[in-house]
Amino acid sequence: MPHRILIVEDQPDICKLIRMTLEFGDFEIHEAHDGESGLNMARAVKPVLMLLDVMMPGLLDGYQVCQRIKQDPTMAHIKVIMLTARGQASDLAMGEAAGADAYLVKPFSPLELIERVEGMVSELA
Amino acid sequence: MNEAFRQLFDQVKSGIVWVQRDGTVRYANKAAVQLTPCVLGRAFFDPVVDRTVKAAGQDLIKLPFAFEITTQEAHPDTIKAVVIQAPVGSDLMLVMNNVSEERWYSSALENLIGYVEAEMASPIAALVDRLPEVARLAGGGSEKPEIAQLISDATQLSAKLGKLRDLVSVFGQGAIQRDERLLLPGLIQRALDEVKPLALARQVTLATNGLDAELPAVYGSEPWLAKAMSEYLEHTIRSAQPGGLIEISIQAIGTRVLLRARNQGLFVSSHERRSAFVPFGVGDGADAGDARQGIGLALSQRIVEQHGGSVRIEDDFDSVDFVMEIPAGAPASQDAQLSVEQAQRYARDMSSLLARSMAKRVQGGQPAPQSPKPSPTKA
Repeated sequence: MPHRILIVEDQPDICKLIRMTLEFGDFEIHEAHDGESGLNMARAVKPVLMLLDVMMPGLLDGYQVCQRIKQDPTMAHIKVIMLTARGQASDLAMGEAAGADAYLVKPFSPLELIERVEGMVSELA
Repeated sequence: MNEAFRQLFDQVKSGIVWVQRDGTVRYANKAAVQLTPCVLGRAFFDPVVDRTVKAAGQDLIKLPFAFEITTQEAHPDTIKAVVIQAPVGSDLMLVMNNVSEERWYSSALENLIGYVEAEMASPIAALVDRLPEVARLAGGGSEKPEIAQLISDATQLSAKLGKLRDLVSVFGQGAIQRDERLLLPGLIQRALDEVKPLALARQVTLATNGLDAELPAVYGSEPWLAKAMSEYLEHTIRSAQPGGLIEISIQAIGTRVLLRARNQGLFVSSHERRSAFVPFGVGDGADAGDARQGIGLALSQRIVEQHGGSVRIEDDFDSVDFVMEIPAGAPASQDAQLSVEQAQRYARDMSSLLARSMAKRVQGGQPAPQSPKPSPTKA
C-alpha cells in the first residue's frame, strides 16, 4: 500500500513540481495550499510524511503548523520536511525548534527531495 | 440650455462645452474658454477639437472618446479632452482638464522626494546618530542654559527630519523588504517601551490586552513595522486627553491581525479624521499658529500599506479607535523567479529521476510508469 504524503505549499507551480517529483515514487499524494487547511488535512488523512512550506499567507505559517503537529500526540509521529527559500542558520534553527525532521532550501534538488522522502518513509517501515 | 445645468457647469473646475452634433458651440464655461478658444454659435477654432466633435456627431467614433490637445500659447499646456453624450437630448459635451499642471506638481513632488533621498537622507541620519554624543560632550549643557536649549531644539529638529526622511523612503516603491518573520506581541511591546516617556509626560495610561495570546506570525520588514507601530502609538497618545486611558488590544480575525488602540472619552472631528493621514496637513480652517498633526500617522499608514495592510480611525459615541490591520502570514504573491528556478532544477534532475525510477521498477519486476497518477484530495 502506498504511503500517504501531504504537500502543504501555497505556490501552485512549486506544488505541481513537488507532485511531479513524488510521482516518480510510490506514494498517495494529498495537497493543501495554506497552513490551516494543511493542519486540518493532516488530521483527516493522517499522512506518514508532510512537505511543508514555511512562508504561507494566513493564520498559520509552516513553523506554526509543524509545531502544532508535533505537539499533538495523534500526529506527532508524522515526519515533517520543511521547504523554504529562507536558508539562513536562524531559519534552520526555527525549523528545528518547531520540531521539523528535515529542512530543504528552495530551489531544492528534486532528486534529493525524493531520496529524503523515500529514506524517511523506509525508516518508518 | 437648462438654467440649472448652466449654474452647475459654471461651478465646475474642468472646462465644459455643450455642443450640437454639427459642432456648433451652445455653451462653454469660463474654464473651457481658457483652455480652448470658442464662441457661442460657432464651431471650435482648434481644428483637432472641431474635427473630433464633428466625427462624434456623425457617430464615426465611439463615446466616450478621449484625446489630447494643447493650449494656443507660446509654451502650450497639454489638455486632456473627452467627448461624451450630453445628459439630455442628442447633443454632445466636451470636458477638458489641464494635465500639464497636474504633471508639473507631480514632478515637483517627485523631484523633492528624490532630492531628500539623494542629498539629505545621509546628513539627516548622521545628525540623528551623532546628536546624543554631541549632547554628552557638551555635558548636557548644564552649565550654560543656551547650550541646553540648543541641544533640545536640535533634538526636536532631528526627530522631525528623521520622520521626513522615513516618509520619503517609504514613498519609494520596493523600499521595504518584506520577508522577515515577525511576532507582533514582541514588536508592540518594543513600540510601547519607546512611547512610554511620551505617555508619562502626558499622563496617559496605556492598558494592554491580548499581547500574550497566540497570534499568527506576520512577514515584513522588522525595522519598518516597528517604526509604523511606534508612530501609530505616538499619534494615539498625542490624540488622547491628558490623564486619559488608551486600551490596546490585538486579535487575529480571518486572515488579518487587528491592532486596536481605543481612546475612551475622545471625540474626533471629520477634519481631524481627514487630516490625520495627510503629511504636514492642517486644512484651510487652521490658524497659522496651530500645531500640525505631523507625519507620524501618515508614515505609519504608508508603511503598513506597503505590507498589504491599513491604518484607519473608527469612532463610537464615547470612544475613538485607531485601528491597524496587517495581513497574517506571508504575502500572497511570492517570487515568480523562484518557481522558474525550481522548474530548472526539476528539468536538470529529470533524467536522473527517470533512470532511478526505471531501475527501481526493474528491480521490483514492475513496468515503468506511463502517466502521472490522479490526485486523491486537494484543499
